[in-house]
Amino acid sequence: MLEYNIAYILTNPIFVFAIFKLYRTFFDKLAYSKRVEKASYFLYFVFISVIIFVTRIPIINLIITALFLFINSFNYKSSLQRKIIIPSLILSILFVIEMIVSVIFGYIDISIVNDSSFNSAVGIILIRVVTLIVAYLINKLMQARNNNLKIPKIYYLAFTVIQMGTLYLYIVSLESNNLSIQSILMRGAILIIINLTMILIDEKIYYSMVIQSEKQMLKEQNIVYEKQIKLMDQSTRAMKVLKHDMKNHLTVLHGIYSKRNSEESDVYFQRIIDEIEGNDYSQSGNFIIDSMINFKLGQLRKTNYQLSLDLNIPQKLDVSTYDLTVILGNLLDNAITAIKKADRKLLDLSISCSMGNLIIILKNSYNGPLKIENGKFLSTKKNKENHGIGLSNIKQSLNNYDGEIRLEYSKDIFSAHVIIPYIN
Amino acid sequence: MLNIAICDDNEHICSIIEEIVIDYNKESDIEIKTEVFYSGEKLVEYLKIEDKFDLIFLDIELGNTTGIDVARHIRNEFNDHISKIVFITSKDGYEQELFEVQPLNFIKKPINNIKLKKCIQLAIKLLKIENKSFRYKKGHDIIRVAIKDILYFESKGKKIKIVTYNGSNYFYDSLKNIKEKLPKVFIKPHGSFLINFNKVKALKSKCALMENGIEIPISQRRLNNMRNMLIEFEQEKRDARI
Repeated sequence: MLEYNIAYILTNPIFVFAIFKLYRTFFDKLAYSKRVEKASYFLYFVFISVIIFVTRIPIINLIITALFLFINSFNYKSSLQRKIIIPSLILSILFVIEMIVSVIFGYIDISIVNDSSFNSAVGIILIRVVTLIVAYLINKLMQARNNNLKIPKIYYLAFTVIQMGTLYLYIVSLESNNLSIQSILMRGAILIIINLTMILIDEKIYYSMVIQSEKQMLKEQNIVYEKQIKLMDQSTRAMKVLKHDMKNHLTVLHGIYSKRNSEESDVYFQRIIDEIEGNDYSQSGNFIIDSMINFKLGQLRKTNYQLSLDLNIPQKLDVSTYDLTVILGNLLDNAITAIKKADRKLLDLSISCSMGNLIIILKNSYNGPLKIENGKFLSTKKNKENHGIGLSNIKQSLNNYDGEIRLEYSKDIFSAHVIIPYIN
Repeated sequence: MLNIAICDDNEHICSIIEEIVIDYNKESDIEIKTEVFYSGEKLVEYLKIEDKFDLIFLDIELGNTTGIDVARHIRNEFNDHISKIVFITSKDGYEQELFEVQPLNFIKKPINNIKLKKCIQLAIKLLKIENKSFRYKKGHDIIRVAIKDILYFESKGKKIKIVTYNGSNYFYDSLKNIKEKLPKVFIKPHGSFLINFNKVKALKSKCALMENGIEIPISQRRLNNMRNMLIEFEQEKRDARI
C-alpha cells in the first residue's frame, strides 16, 4: 500500500488545486480574504494527507470531501441556495471523473494492471490528472463565456488532445517490463509537470487575449470620438452660417409679425431653433456620453422610430471613460438591435444624476413573443438572456463602483435601469 | 399656500414663467404667491429678511452671480434644505456642483408650458407630504415635529432617537410602530435606522450620507429597497421633464 500512499500524497496538491479552480468557476466573490481562502484549502490538503494513515474506507473519504466542499462554500459570497447546489455539483463532477477513469482503466489490458499494488498507484495518478484537466477546462470555458471572449473551438480541442495524449503515453509507457515503483512515480511526476506547464502557458495566452479585446474596445472608442469631433465641427460651422443668416431671418420675422400671423411665426421660430440644435441627438455637454449616443443612434438614422432623450448630467463625471463607454455602448447596442427587429420602434433614454448616483433609464421596444401557457410566461428567462449580449461586460464595469443593472420587460417594452454611485 | 420665487436676469423669461404660474393657479385650488427677481443678489437680499420660498425657479446663467452660487447660498448660508429649486437653463452641459444642491428638476429654454406646470405639481405633491407633522410622546408632553425637519430615527434599546435639523431627542417607542405613522419616504437602510429619504445627500453602496453630514450604514439586504426608491424618485422627476 506504500506505493498508493506516496502517489496519493504527491497528487493531493493538484487535486486540491482542481477543487479550487472549480470553486472559482462557480463563485466570483470572496466572503472573507484571499488568505482565509488559501488557508482553508491548505488545511484540507493537510487533513486528507494525514487521514490516509488512519483510515482508507472510501465512504469516510467521500464524507470528508463532501463536508469540506460544503464548508468551503462559505468562503464565497452567494445565496444559501447556491452554497448547497454548487458543492453538490462539484462533488458529482469529482465522483463521475473517478468512476469513468476507473472503468476505462479496468478495460485497459496492460501487464502492470495485473499487479494490484501498482494498479492503485497508477489509478490515483490518472484520476487526479484527469480531474485537474477537466476542472481547468470547465473554468476556462465559463470564464471565456462570461467575458465574451471569442476563443476558437479548435483551441480547446488542441488543449484537450495534448493533455489526453500525454495521459495516453503515460499509460502505454507502463507496458514495459520490470517497472519499479520509482519509475511509475517518476513518469507520473513528468506527466503532471507537462500538464501544469500547459496550464501555465494557457493562462498566459488567455491574458493576452483579454488585453487584445481591451485594445479592440479602445480602438472602437476612438472611432466614436472621432465621429463626435466631426459632428461638433459641423455644428460649429452651422452656427457660423446661422449667425450670418440671422439678419435675414430677423427681417422675415419682422415681416410676419407686422402682419400678426402667429401660426406662421411659430413655424418659422421652430425652424430656426431646430437649425441651432443641429443634427446630433445628444447635446448634454458631457463629451463621452454625447459621443456614444450620437454614434450609436447614427445607426438608426435611416430607421423611422420614436426617440425620446432626456439628459441631465454634468460635463465631467467621476466615472472612468472606459467603464462609461462599456456600459452605455453595450446598453445602446442591445437596444438598437432589438429596435431594428421590432415592429413598433421606440427608444426612450434618460440619464440623470441624483444623490451622487448616475442613473440611466433605457426603454426600448422589442419583438418578444413570450410564450404563454396556462397563463404563465414560459420563456421569460430566455428572453432576458438573449438581451444579454455584453451584459456581463456591463456588470463587470459596474462592479468597480458597486453599481447595478436591473432588467425588466413587458410584452413589447424592455427596460434597463442602471445605477452607478460615483461619490466615495 | 405656495410661495414661488422666479429668478432670471431676462425679464421676458420671468414674465413667461409668471404667466404660466398664474395660469396654473387658476386651474388649481391652491393659493399661489409669486415673487420675481431679476438678479441673484436681489433674491439673496430678500431671503435675508423675509421667509423662505417653497419653490424657486432659478436661472443658471444669471448676471454676476451664477444660479449655482445662489443655490449654494440658500442651502449652506441660510441652511435651507427644504425649498425646492428648479434650474432654468439654455446651456448645454452642467457643472457637477449643480447636482450637489439637490435640485428638484431642470427646465430647458424655451420654456414649455406643460413641463413647467408638471414641475409645480411635483413640488406641491412633495410639499404636501413634508408639511405634515409627526407626533411623539415624551413623559406627559406630546411633541410635534414637521416631517420636513426630520432627518432620521435611530433605535437605541427601548428608546428612539429622533434627529432633526434642530438637534435630537429621545422617546420610548419602536421603529416598526413609527414607520407605520410616517409617509413612505421614510425607509429603513439598516435594522436600527429609519431615515427620511428626501434628506439623503449621497446614496452610496455601504452608507447614506445625510444632509447634516452623518453617515447611516446600509445593510446589503436593504440596499435594494433604497435603490428602488432612488429610481422611483428619478422616474417621477423625469416624467415632469418630458
